[in-house]
Amino acid sequence: MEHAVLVIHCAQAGASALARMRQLGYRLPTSVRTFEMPCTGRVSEPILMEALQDGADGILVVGCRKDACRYLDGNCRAERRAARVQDLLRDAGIGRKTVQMHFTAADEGSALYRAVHGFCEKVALQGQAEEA
Amino acid sequence: MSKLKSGSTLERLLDRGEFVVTAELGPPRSVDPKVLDDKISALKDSADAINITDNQTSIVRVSSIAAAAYLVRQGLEPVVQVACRDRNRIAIQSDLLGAALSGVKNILCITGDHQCFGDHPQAKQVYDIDSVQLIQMVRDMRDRGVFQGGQEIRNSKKAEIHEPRFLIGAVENPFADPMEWRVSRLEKKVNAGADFIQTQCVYDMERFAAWMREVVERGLHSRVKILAGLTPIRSLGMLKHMKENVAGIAIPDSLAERLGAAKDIKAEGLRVCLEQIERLRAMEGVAGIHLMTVEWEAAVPQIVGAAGLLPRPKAA
Amino acid sequence: MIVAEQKPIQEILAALPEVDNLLVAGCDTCVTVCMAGGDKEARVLCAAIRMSGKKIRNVETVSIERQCDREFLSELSDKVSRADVVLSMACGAGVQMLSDFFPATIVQPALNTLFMGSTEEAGYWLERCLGCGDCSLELTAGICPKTRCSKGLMNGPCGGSVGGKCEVDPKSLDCGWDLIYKRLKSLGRIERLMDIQPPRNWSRAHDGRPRSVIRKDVRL
Repeated sequence: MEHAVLVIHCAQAGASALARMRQLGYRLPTSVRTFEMPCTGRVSEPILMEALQDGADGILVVGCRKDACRYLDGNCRAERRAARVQDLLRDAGIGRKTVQMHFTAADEGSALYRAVHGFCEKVALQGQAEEA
Repeated sequence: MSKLKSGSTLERLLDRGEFVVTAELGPPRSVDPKVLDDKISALKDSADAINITDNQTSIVRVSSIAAAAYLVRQGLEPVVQVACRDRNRIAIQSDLLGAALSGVKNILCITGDHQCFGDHPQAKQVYDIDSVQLIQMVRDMRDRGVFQGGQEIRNSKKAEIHEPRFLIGAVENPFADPMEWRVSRLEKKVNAGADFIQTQCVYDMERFAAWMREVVERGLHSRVKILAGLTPIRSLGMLKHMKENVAGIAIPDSLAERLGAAKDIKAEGLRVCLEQIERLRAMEGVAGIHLMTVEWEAAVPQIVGAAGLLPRPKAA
Repeated sequence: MIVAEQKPIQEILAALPEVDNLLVAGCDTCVTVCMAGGDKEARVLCAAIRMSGKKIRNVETVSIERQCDREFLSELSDKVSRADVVLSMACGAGVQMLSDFFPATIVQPALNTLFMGSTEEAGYWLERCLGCGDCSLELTAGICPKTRCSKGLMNGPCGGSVGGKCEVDPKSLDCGWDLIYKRLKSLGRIERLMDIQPPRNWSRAHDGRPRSVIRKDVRL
């Protein structure tokens, strides 16, 4: 069973790394969708929860490295919100869904691919564990 | 001799200028009378009056008044501690009437440890009145014959006033903050009506001496009798606990080192206590000592004896 | 303002009966400011309930300005009439008002209401007022001893005040009386601390009776 993964990334390092990744020839599986935000700081908890509710099994939030956010602390806020949503999912017994934060530099194309790939595997494992 | 307020043994001895000894007794956490009997036999000839704690540290124990009544029946003189945490002004005044009828003549007014420290942290807190208001309330009952609400202490309009007459004690901690305010706080309690003070246990004699100098400077020692609190340290665990966990206790590093280096810390702790007593007897304004040997009442006769304070004087 | 906290999600889920229609009602006033029961929180909770596996056919969410005012509650009539259970994310006053307004509907609280307080910093709210009905803040330099002192003393501090901290939590709880002392000192009014404050009149507080305020001059 395919698990739907959403990658929400910022328009700065997130978008650049994604572009670099594609430039290097990496292709993401069809179960992965990407979505751009001006800054990951714009990713609120309701956005995360509703995306999960509407079908995403995992959300990877990709933002600039700490100290490199154009909007100063948008990425830090996103990290904390992602953690809070992750805690909520665990506490509510919604084990099959997961949210994670990933920090990237603009040129880290292969690293981003590895991160997304690794995340997809994690989502699949979690999904299988819950189904069992 | 000045007119006595309560006629208690403690009052008579203090009035006479004797260096008094009081000790603390923690009532049992059950209704086993033997626990009480054992503590009483340890303390009976080595203290002029015995403090009965009131659910100390917010841990449920036999009530201080009930235990005090037990002591009175055995011919001993209790000091009933009254904390503000558990009872409102109605219950406290009611208890005070009962205490007086049971032969209690000394009351120690304290705030009371917060309930979070005890065995029932979910209990509702009272603190209807605080320790200063309590002192004033007990004094007004004694000196004006009225309840806190203003009514006279008489059974009916035609009956005579029969007020409880207590010697009123309070606690002061010379080592709590704000440091510069502690003597003023003492003065406030004296203004409210405190007759005697038992301090929190002293380890830092220099700081205590400085505090006493200020007390004497303000003439407070002639308005209130001050008893220095003492608690001998008997183990490394206790030393660590007192130094790190108990708020308002000041243990100087030199003392901690001395005790830490001792072969027999229990004996060393007792030795330290005796040195303190000697110094306190010579200190202006100190009217006596209050021994708080937690769950080690047997140490009291040892200490009092070794300090040359036995036998205890008889009140006239 | 009123400060509340959301109940742990396990507790909320356990208390929800498995019905056909659930309405999660947020409140846009106090509980939005303290980030416990506003529109955002209602949406998050709604999504969590939908994904939780609880057999509730239909979960809807809506938020109104305040749940403690009838004029806003009336906006909910349609949605409430379709709901079997309403999970109110308002403070205790709002939950009760909503319950009174829709007496035929089961209403459950999603929050634990805590205190009247202030926003000290983003994400940090502090208890300030008990509602004792007998304010004497002028005596203590604008710092309330009933709420800031763990024992509510009027003639503090007690012997457990060390280094400006309260014995209840010496690592992080300020001693209210230490704060009062310092401010009175900086205002040049320290001698006020020698005044013996008499016992409080608790009959004006909740101790007296369930309370209400009635203004004849404004009632129609």
